[in-house]
Amino acid sequence: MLLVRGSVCALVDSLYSPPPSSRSEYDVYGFKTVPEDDEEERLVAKVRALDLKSLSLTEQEVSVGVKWENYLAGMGTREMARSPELKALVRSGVPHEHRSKVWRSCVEFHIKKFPESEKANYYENLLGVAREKQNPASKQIELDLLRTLPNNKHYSSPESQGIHKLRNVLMAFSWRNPDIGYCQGLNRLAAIALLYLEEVDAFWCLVVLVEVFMPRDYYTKTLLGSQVDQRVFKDLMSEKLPRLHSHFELHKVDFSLITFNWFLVVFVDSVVSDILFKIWDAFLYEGPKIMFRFALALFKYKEEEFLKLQDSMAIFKYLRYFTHTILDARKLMNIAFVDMNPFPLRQIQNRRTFHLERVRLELTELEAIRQTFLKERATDPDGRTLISDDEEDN
Amino acid sequence: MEAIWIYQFRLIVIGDSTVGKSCLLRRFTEGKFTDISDPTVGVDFFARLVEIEPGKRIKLQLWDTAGQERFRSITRSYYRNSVGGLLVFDLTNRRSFEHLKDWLEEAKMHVQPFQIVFLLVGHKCDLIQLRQVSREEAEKVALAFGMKYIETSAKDTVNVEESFTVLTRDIYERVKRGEISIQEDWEGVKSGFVPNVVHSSEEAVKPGRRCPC
Repeated sequence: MLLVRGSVCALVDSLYSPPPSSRSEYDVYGFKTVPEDDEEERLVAKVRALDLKSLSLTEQEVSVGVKWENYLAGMGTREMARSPELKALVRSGVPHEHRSKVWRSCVEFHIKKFPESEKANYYENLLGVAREKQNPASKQIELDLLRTLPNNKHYSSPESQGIHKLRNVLMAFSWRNPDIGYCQGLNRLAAIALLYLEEVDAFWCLVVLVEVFMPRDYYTKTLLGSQVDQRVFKDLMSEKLPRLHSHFELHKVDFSLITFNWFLVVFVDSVVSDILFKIWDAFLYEGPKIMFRFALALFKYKEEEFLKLQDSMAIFKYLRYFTHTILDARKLMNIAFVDMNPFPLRQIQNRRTFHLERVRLELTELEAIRQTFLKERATDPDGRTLISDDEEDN
Repeated sequence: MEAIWIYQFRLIVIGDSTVGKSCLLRRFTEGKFTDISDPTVGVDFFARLVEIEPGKRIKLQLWDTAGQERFRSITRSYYRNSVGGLLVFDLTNRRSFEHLKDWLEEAKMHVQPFQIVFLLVGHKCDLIQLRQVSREEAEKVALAFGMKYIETSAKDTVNVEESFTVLTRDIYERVKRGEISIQEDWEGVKSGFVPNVVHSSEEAVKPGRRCPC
C-alpha cells in the first residue's frame, strides 16, 4: 500500500489509473462520459460529449485561457493575492491545467485562521489516531468509499489511489470534528477536492468547506444549517424567480426536496462535470453565496420548460434530471453572475438568522412529539413489544 | 401522451444505509442495475405506472430516502404524505434486520393519526451464501408488524415487480373498501381522470381516518 507521503500529486495528474474497459470513454476529470454497454445510451452520450467538446473550444473559452496565461505570467513566482481581477478571472472558470494551483491558493487563504494548519504533523497525527482506534464514523465511511463518484475512474476499485486517499481524508476529518463525524455527502466533497489537490490539502479543503464556508450544523445530527438554507433559498426563489416560485406553489411541489442535495454536496452529481468544476472554482474563491447564485441560475435557465409542465409528477420528474441537460456553462455563468444581481450577502445572512429560530423551534417540537410517542408506546401493552409473544398464538 | 390512471399513490422506501433501496427503485422504474450506487443524500424521486387489473392502472410516485440516521429529520414530511411504503432490510446484514422496529416506529410517529401500509422486503436474496436472516424469522417479524413479506433481488430481478405490485394492490383494496380515502391536503392518494371507475366509498369520505395499529 502506498504511504501518504508517497502520493504527492493530485489525482487528475496521476499516471496511475486502472485499465479502463476498452469501450468506455472518460473526460479529463476521470468521469465516464460514454458507457460501455447499452448501444443507444452510448450514442446519446457520444453526441453529448461532442456538444460539450465544441462548447469548450469556443473563442470565448480560448480567450479565458489566454487571460489566465497573462495573469499567471504577470504574477511570476509571487503568491496569488486576492484581487478584483483574480475574482473576475475565477468567475470565468479556471483552466484545467491551472486548477490545482488556484484551488490550493484558495484553501491556503482560508486556513490561515487555523493555527494548527501550520503544524507540520497535524494531519499525520490525526491519521495516526485513526489507524489505531475506531470511531463511530469509521464503519459508514468504509461502506461509502466505493460508493463515491462511482463513475469516476479514480475511485473505481478498492486498490485505486483515490479510495485510499479518500479514506484518509474522511477519517482524519471525523477525528477533528467528532460532533460531525461523518455525514453522507462529505465523501463526495472530499473526492472532488482530491481530484485537484494533494491529500493533505484536500483535507484542509474539506475543513474550509465545513468549518468556514457552511453555517454551523450543516452536517451535524439534525442538519439544522442545511434545513435553514433551504428556507433561505425558497425566499430567494420567490424574490428572484417569482413566476416559477408560484408555479411550484400552485402544483404543491416542494423543490427544496431536490435542492437540499445540491447545497449539501455543492452540486456534485447534479450538473455535468465541465459546469461542476467551474462552479467549484468560484465557490472556493468566494464562498457559499455561489451556491445560491447557481441554484437560482439553474432554475432560471430552464424556467420556461418548468412553466410548461402542468402536473406535479411531471414537474418532480423534471426537477430530478433537468440540471443534467444544461450543457452551456457560459450561459449559466452569465445568468448566475449578471442576471441574478444584485446579490447582497447581508440579505442571505438576515434570512438565515430569521429561519434558524424557526427551524430550531420546529426541531424542539418534533423532539417533544418523539418523547411523548415513545412514552405512550412504553405504557401501551400492545405497542411495547412489536415482536410480542402472542405471535405464537397466531 | 399522458397515460390514463385511476389513482396516484405516494410510496416511500425506508431502511438502513446500503440495504439497496435505490437499486430496488432503479430496477423497478428504469429496469437497470448498477453494482455500485452512491448514497442517497436527502431524498430522491421515481415514478412508474403499474397495472393492477387489466385496464386499471395506478400511478406510483416513489420517494427514495437516505439511510443514514441524520437525514431522518429531513425525510419526516414524506412519511406524512405517503400512503404506503417498502420497509427494506438486507438479508445479508443482520443489523439492518434488527433496526426494522426503529424504522417502523419512526414512520408511525410521523404519520399519526393517518395510517400507512407497509410491505416488508428482504433484499439481496441472490446472495444465498451470505444470508444472515432466515425466511422463517423474517416472516415471523412481518406477521408481528402486520405486514406481508417478500424477498427480492434487484441484481437478478427477483420479485422486484411483485413487491411493488403486492403493495399497490394491498392499498388499492383498502381504498376500495373505504379504509383509506382521498383527502384534501394529503398527497398519499389522489384520484385519476377516469370518472366511471370511481368507487362508492370515495363519495362518502369519512373524516379522521384512524390508525388501526
